[in-house]
Amino acid sequence: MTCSKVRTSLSAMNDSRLCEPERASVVQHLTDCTDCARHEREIRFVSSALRDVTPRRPPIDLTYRLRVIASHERARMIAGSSWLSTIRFRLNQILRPLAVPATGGFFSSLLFFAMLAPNFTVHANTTDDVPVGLYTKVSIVNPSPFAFDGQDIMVELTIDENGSVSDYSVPGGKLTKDEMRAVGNFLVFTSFKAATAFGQPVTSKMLLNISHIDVGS
Amino acid sequence: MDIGLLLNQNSNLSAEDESLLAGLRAGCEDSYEALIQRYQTPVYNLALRLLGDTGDACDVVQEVFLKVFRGVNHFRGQSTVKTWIYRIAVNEAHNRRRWLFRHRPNSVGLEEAGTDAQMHERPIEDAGPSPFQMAFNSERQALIEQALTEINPTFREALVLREMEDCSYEEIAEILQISLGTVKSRILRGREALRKQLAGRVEPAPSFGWAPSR
Repeated sequence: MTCSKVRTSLSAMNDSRLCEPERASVVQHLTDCTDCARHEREIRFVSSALRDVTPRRPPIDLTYRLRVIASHERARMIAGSSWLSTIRFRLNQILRPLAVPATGGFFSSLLFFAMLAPNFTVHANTTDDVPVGLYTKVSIVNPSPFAFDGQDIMVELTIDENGSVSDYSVPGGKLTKDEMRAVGNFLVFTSFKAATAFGQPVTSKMLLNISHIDVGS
Repeated sequence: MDIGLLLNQNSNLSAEDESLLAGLRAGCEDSYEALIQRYQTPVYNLALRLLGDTGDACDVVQEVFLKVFRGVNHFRGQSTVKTWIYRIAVNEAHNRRRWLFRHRPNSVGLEEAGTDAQMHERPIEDAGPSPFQMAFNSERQALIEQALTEINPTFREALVLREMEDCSYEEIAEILQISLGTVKSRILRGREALRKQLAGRVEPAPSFGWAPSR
């Protein structure tokens, strides 16, 4: 095998592309020829030197530019497919940047409210509440401060929704003029609380027994 | 016969490539990101070795990815995705080189190629070699890269694909659209050319084979 033939085979041998008989011939020649052996070492060095070259890292801005290109091309491809995909893509483009701020805002406001909630106190006004039972009876709030002059008497009162006596009558019989005046005076200075139905004041009747109590002498 | 069935029968794609292409055709964002992550660095390095300039390499990478994104629906899977992308990259680098050949003589750079910035971008490993070894390797790498840019671009393409991108002869034949015999010839001549280039700049050293000449 000539040196020229061997040197054209060295590259292929370096890549293991020679058949076995040819390779054996080349190897045999290399053991005999120092020039070709040196040539072979140099070819091997060139190959290994190229393989040892460190790959360069692409510039950072190239990655961003490629992503922008990818985004545009993707949008173009989606726009060409169907209107539903286009709408979905556009919505995604609009809403995605808001997703993180909106979620963060929601959870931070929730946390803030949870921290402040124990400090809020509600004072319920339970003193003058309107009874909400089905029905409450009429009652006397303040009886007349003046004594009743006369005999014991039973009167039927009609109390309107304002707690005022709108009418009265004596079931037991007729009264004299003085007795009428005494009962009237007594009722004028007596205040009533109107009966209620479902929490609303209503007109109602009550029987009132007016007695004369003498605590003197 | 269904054209999809015909394409599948002729397909050389791996399951991974099939999945990637399906995602790209469906407009899946993750697939676009995966494609960029997987091929950005190899394509950039390929373009850089073929052109010898970082700015030109970046332009070529953008063109390559633009063509890949736009051509994904027309890709029929008769080669692997890697081969397809590398073929586009080699063609784009070739076009760029022709354009530069016509226009570059009229342009004047403000400074020499920004090697400082490139040096900062190189990863430095913690358990790395000594400063001397680093300086030696850096100088040797610069010499090899410089020598590589000075050999015939036709041979350089084949050599870079073989040695730096670890492509097989068959893949190189597909990428460059040439026969296996031509691949073998170009690699041989590329190595010879590079050997001669380096022989003028480095001298043999007992421990390293060759060392940069002083």
